[in-house]
Amino acid sequence: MRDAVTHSLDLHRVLTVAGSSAPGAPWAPPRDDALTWFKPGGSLPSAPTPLEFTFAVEAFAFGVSRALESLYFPLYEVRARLLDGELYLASVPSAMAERDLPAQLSRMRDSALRFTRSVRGSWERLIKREVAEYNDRLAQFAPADAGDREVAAAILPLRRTRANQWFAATRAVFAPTVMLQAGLGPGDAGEARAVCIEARALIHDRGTPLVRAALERVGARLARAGCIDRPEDVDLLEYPEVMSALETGADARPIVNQRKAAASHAGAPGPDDLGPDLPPDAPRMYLLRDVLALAL
Amino acid sequence: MGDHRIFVGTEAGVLVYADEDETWRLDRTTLEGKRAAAILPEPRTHAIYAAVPGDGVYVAADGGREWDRCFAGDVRSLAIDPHDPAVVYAGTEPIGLFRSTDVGDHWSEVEALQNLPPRVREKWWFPVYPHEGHVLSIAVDHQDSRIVYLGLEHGGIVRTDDGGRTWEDISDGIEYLDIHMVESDPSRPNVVYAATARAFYRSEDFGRRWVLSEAGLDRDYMHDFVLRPGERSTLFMTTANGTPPAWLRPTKAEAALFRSADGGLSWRQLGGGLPSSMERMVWAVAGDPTDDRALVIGLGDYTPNMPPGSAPGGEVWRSPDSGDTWTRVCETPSPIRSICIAS
Repeated sequence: MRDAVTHSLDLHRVLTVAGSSAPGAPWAPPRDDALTWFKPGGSLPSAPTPLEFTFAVEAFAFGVSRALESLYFPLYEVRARLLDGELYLASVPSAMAERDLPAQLSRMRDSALRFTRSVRGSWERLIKREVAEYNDRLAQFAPADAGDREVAAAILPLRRTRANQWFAATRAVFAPTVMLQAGLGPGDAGEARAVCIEARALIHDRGTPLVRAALERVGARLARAGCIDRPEDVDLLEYPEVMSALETGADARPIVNQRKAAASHAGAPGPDDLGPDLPPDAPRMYLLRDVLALAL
Repeated sequence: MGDHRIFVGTEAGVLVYADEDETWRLDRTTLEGKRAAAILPEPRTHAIYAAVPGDGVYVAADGGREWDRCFAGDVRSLAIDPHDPAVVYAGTEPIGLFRSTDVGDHWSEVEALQNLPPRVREKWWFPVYPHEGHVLSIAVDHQDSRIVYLGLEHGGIVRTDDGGRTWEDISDGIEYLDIHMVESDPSRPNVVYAATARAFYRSEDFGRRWVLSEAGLDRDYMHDFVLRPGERSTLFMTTANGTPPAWLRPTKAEAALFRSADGGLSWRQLGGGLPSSMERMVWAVAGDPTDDRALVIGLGDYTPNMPPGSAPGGEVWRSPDSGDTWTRVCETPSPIRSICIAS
């Protein structure tokens, strides 16, 4: 099985960008300018507003990163970045994974067994209920009688709720399905793909509008409090700024006006990829695009 | 040996084994039905503490016969101040730290831990539902009790230098922030060790910079370690191959025990009767407070991976000679999660 896992990776290539440390020195994740950035496509917004980026995109990046690292995918994290207003993702290399790639990939296969034996089984037994429960929490966010401070306290867990939804579905459904398609598990890939459709329906069709509705309720509340002029202006605030406005009632209109002015100067679309060239068999990209294609 | 006892914390109670002419027999079962995630003897007061997740801290003042719950909470870890046996710490899920200064009679939260900035607290998480992180390890510095380290699963390592008034995240250098054990070296207080779910690290500057220190290790999942101080301290560490979900494979945990005779710089796997690759995880290791060459380890099946209808269990092994040779003391009817030797 190890051969099947590693066939598409050149294990002998010397990897120089998995971390910024020399032997015996502390490891540190590579900086943004050392990474190769690509446009994710799919359901993530191509030019997210400040709120979309700091809420929806960061929740996605957190959940997917934690899911893939827990399954021993050979990466440190999936990082998101805005470049001239456009959304890019990068896969951040893992020094730990690349110190012994065959062992890492063997553990990847073993740690996913509980899902790859039957993606349908684990979905029906546990994961579907968990993903649906997060939608319930999104729907219940910020009842009309809640005070601003209560809403401010609830909004941090709200992003974590969405991140956990991405985590649960990616770890148990999207990533194992991709592994099955690559021959890395005993289960039925066709059956797993059918589960992906159900997972996407819960996250995208049901969850995304609930996120939108929750943030609209926050926007309406901030507009009533005079922090912003119109409810939809909340989209021009970053997530911490929204929390701050809820907590303190601070006037956020100067920030909104500044961002409106900046948005009016948007330039031409950027290239599909940015940064140093990356070989298609770079360990950090192993099956990643397939996972993103299924999830998004 | 005399009144020696091995306290074995299992997923269904604490088993107490008594030494009778170097034969260990089950003396009694206490805290029946409770999962003892940590057991901590305090030889100066003869108290024994047990942490039961989702329940609280239990204390026994009479060699473990009668236990009283002295703290209610989802407790995952315990520590006692080396300089003051009355000071006891309990780490919880969600991540929190509580302290008693009167042998567990009264407790108060070390609230400043929650003042760490959002960028730090956002890392506090756990991959198992409900995805809350917890304090899995507490280390009080052996020279200066104001210095306390917390190992967070997941979340990294945080430290206070002022008895808990302020805290700092000191996780730089650690790639995967699933911290199982953190401990400072009694002989060299600047040296701190960290066992994580993916690696072993060492710091020589009170945890400010962590460096991988894995020469000789061929496992990646480090769980528990015990430290025997000396000019170059000796460490004994329990390991496995991959995180618990990977133990569904036929060879299961592929667990092993390693020893470092040079303060965590290099490692050698211990045999001397121990299988080279154990299906059960070695969840716990402990030294003997009255015999610095004696060690015990506690093994346990990983219950979620057990096939339906099978009965998970555990076993205790003992070494009289710093890990050179091992004999199996007993089989336990429930997986072991913690172990200690006390009188």
